[in-house]
Amino acid sequence: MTGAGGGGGPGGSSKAASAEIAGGLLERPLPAGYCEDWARHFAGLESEGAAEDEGADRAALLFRIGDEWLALPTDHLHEVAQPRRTHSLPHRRDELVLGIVNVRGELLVCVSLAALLGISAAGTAEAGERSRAGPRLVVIGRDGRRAAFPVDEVHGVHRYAARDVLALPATIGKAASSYAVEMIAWSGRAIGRLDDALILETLDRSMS
Amino acid sequence: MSGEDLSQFSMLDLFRAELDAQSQALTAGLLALERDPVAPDHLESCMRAAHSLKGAARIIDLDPAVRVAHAMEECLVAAQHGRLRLTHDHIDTLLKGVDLLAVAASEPPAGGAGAEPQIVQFLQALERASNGGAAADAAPAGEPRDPGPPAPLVPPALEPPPQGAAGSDRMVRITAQAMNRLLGLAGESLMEARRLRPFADRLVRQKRRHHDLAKAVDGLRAALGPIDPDDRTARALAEVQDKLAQSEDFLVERLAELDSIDQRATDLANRLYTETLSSRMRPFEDGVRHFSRAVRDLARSLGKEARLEIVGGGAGIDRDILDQLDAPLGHLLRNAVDHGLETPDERVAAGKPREGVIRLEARHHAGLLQVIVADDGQGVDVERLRHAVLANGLVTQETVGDLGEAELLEFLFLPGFSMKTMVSDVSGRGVGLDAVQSMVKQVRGLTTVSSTAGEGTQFQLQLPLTLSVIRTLLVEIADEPYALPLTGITRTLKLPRADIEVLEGRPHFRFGERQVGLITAHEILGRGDARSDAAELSVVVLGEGETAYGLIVDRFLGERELVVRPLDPRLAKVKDISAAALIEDGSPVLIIDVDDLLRSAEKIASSGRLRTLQRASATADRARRKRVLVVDDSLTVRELERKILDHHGYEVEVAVDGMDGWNVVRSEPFDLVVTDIDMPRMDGIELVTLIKRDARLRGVPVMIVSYKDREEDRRRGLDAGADYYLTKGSFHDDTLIHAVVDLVGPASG
Repeated sequence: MTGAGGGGGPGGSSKAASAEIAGGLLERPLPAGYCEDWARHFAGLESEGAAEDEGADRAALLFRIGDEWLALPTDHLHEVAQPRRTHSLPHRRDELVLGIVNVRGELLVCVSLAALLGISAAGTAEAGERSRAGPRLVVIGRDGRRAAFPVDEVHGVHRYAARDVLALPATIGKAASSYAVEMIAWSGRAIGRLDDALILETLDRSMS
Repeated sequence: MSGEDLSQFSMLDLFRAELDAQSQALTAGLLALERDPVAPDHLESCMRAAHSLKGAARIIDLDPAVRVAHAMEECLVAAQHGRLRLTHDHIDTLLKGVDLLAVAASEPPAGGAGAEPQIVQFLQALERASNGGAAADAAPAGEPRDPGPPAPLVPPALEPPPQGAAGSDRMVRITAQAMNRLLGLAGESLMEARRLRPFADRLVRQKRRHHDLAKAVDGLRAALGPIDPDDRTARALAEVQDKLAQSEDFLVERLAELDSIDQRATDLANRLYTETLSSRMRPFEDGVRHFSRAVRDLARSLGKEARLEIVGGGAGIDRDILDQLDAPLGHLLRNAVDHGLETPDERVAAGKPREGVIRLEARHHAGLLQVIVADDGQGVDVERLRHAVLANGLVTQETVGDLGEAELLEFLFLPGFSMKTMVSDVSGRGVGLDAVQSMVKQVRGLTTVSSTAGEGTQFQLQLPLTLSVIRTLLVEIADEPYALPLTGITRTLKLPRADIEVLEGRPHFRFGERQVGLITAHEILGRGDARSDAAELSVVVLGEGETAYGLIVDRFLGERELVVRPLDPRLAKVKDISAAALIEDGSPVLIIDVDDLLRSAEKIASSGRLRTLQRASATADRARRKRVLVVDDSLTVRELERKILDHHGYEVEVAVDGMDGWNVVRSEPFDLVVTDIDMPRMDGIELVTLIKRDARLRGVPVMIVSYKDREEDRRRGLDAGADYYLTKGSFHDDTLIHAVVDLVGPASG
């Protein structure tokens, strides 16, 4: 009765009847083993899918700082946030620590990955002007020790397979000098994949 | 079977919850009765508590508890009717009865029938107390004459709702991190909700434009002049006007809707935020109430009379700090009863009331939480302390005479130090005060002690409000917001440029009776240059008397209440900054460490700047001199050491405590650090440990100079990594300078 909301036409009563049938159909108890079947289905999906994709089982966040595109494994990635106002710290003259920043009500140390990797600021300004995709704040960390760093553009998470990995060339981009461990082929270019554990360790050490 | 057991459990749990609440009331009432045995309101409340407990125990068939509660009630009823006068023994026994009820309600091994022997003892003790008492009592205990047999069943049955309230006062444990996140999210949601208002305001502007548009169309209609209403143009125009009116109505309705959504959302977010904030705080009394009983019991066992007076019990205190305070406060109170208070006879002889009063007070003062434990006892005998210091071999015969009272009292905090000749099981073993101090130090607080002969001893704990909320003045410095705790501010003012005078090359202004030095916040914090175009300067006067400074900031932004958030520990201590916080637009703000700032100002103003200039020229024309950092909180010692070293050609920088020293030693290169041990904020041992743990500083030799010349002090210093340990007595000869030369060689070369 109540189900036939827009009723009032000549077929009102039959509509109500079909609504009742539909309701009965949708609300019927689940057959035995139904949930388990689907749980198995979705659980299996990942490994099966990976097999089909021939091992596209690695994921990295692709982002740009200045002119350099870089990739960072997602293991220690917490979130990508809108850029927020950073408060500088007095008496700090190093370029690494930019200050503190509020991300979802938590005060995080904001660092310059550009400074850590040695990417020039001039390139950053230039590229920032060229691109409208918008800067972002990337939050990484482990064991409660977190840090945020600004980037000029984020492409998103890129899944790739072992075969997409290229060896490090003898001469690599200046940025990737000591923190890149391998190159990933992505839409016609090779991107340095950063060693996230090494970066986190370096940050922990050089903050104080 | 199991179902029955479970229900039994929950009933017992209910009883325990009730017992918890009622025994608090009972204990408080009994302690009051001890002072005034005939106070009708306390008699009434105690009797009622015992009566409720009896009823509740009967409902769950907890017979031992029924008997104990019944006997207590009987005794109290007798006292109420004047058939009995409550003595100390009565109170003792009744308090034990409260404990016994808890035992009876505990799990079988100790509780239930297991408590039987204790119950028999208790009943006998109560009877003895009554028979020994002045008034005769016909029927002390037992079932025969129950004054209100029908009553018990009713009140307990009605009891649960009010007891439910006690249940909702129940504390839950939550990690500090979860609490901080909750607070962060509440703050963020408040900030988001506040964005609705400006958005609605912008929409109002749109409504106005809309109105203008409608008027323009009206104008168009008028400009067209008289036309036939059936004309196509006229019809099209009428339709436009119609649609415009409809759309305007719609916009007005939506705006009204948005207004009420905004109000509700902001209100809700506000409440959420304040509620989350206040849930961090607990009244001081909550954490210390249980000491009333402990103090009284302890005094009785020592043959003394003592009462605990809690002042400022309502002061909100961060729950973490309150938890940490429990052990040190317990110790200070035990000390006050044992060492501080005299026996009742001694007190009477001294013209004081028999009963000693120990005051436990909490208050917020100067941005710190101040907790005071004061007794009205005999005070510390300074001469005896002097002897004890000498007897313990802490100083030499010559130096002991020079020590002032404050310096002598400091020895009370030394590990293993005791004045008591006889060791009691309560205190006097010499352990404890040092533990109190180390706990307070852990949270970067300060312990001080003062004493007046014949009037009492007072311990003062100053604890930082690291996790609490503070009121601050928000200022702008180099385009960024900073917060100054209100408690550290003497005055704020707008200073016309014309009022600035220059004395000895530094800007000053007249503030009340004196000249106060001016310094820009930019200079202290290393944030570029101050804006120099304004005709008036925004000045915050910090500190008092000699150490007052006028801090020039760019702008006052107003007063704010901020939730103090610690900075990321990986940043270590940031000089001049104590913590961080978020302001309402979500921007981070740094909270200024006023003590640090004053010290920095002092350095820049007095010698720092001039000396840097001198240094620049000095290093230009001759070989570099060895640089020594002297860390000591005593001005005299600091200056003495500076003079000696300076005289021998060393370049000397000074720092006024460990924290200051740690800041300085990291910012400039030094060849040697000379430090004291006992200093506020950070002691010498911690400083040495930090230096020796730092990869860059590890190589810098550190020399400790201290009053403490015992072998264990020396070992403690050397264990921390100090390269040399010198006692302060050795100033007068060349020991200091020999040791320095040994460690780093002569001043230049």
